Amino acid sequence: MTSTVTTPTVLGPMVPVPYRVARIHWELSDTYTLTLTPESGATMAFEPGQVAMIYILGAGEVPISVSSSSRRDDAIQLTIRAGGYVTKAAARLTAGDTVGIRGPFGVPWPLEQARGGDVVVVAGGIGLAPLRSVIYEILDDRHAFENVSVAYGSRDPGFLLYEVELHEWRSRFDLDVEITVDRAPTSWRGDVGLVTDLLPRMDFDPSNATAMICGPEIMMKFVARGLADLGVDRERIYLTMERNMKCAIGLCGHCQLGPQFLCKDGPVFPLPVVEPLMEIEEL
Amino acid sequence: MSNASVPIEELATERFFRDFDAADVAKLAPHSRLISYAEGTTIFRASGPADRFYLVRTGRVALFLPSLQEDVIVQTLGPGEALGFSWLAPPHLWRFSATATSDIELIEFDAAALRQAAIVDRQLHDLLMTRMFDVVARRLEATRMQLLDIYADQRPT
Repeated sequence: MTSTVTTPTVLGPMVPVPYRVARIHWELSDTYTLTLTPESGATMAFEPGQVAMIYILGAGEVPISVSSSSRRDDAIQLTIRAGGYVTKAAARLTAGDTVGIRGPFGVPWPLEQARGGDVVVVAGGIGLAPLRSVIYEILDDRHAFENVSVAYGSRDPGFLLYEVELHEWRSRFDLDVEITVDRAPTSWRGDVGLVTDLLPRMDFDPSNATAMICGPEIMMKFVARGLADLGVDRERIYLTMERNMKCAIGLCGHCQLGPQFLCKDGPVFPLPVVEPLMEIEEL
Repeated sequence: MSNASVPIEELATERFFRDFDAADVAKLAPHSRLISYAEGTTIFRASGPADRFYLVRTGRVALFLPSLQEDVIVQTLGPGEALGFSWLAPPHLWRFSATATSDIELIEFDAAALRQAAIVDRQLHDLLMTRMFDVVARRLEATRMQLLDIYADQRPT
């Protein structure tokens, strides 16, 4: 008797695809970037802002925004802060280890809409990770956008994510990059203060600018308010929200934010959709 | 460095004076002058007499807290921003020190003259106090946000 093994050609969204760890690079003392390549087949196609579910064998699964270029590489990169059980387990991975990847999930950043106008990217702390893929995308198609400004806020000069890239971006003539930290010794030559303080100093036309914000919610709230005060259309201010994502396909409700499911309706939202929800306690 | 007053029309373009009409700006203009400092220059020191008020025209200024161990920058200020509010209330001593972190241009006001002008002109007093209150409130808000250390416990994204 001959047994027939059927290999599914299309895996369901709940089935993790095996990826191999090509590299683990420590960005900061508590933050690392995993470079992952599929054990077989093509690398997951994604758009900047979309989320991958990474499954660490024997530990669990967490949602992480893809931080690499969607065009440049045959690998995906996930930048992760070792804060919880799963992310600490992932920090112990070494090259050659296997993880499971599901996705991509969710609504990406509005890069199509931003074309032809100015772009303002505002990131706080590890919030630069989901926006790095946006910056890569813009730089790869730079002529499609007008003035591009990046404002980045962090705790102190020792906590600047992607420091090498920040230096590289700052040296370009077609990108305005401003960095500020919450506190610094006098040897620091950059800015100290809130990332919102950088906004009036940046060169963009509020009438045609699209803003993309990622960071702690309180920071995003203040930045969104600051951009709106400068005249940026609230419909063109986008932020990415974070909640505890589990199924990632809009079934379980763990990532529910009022009427929105972050995994399918977000995580990127225009300001008018999430602004009222951000005012509700414990939501 | 000139001792000439900053022209009224030039002062009026400053963000700080956006709610002032030309007549009010004209009352302050005689007490102003344009000055410049090279990078690294100390503009004022903590505990020194707060006898000046500044608006940053170009460049960056770092406000810092001198310490026996390591000086700590608490804020940097850029074009359009007000530098110093210790001149407003007694004992008129600077709480922080300020250094130019690049070559800078400042509009400098004689603080005693500003206070005197505000004493004799109620409308000017109210305008100045409202603007300075806005500056102080924003600094307080920024300080609270910095104290929250909001980047410390970000979840993985």
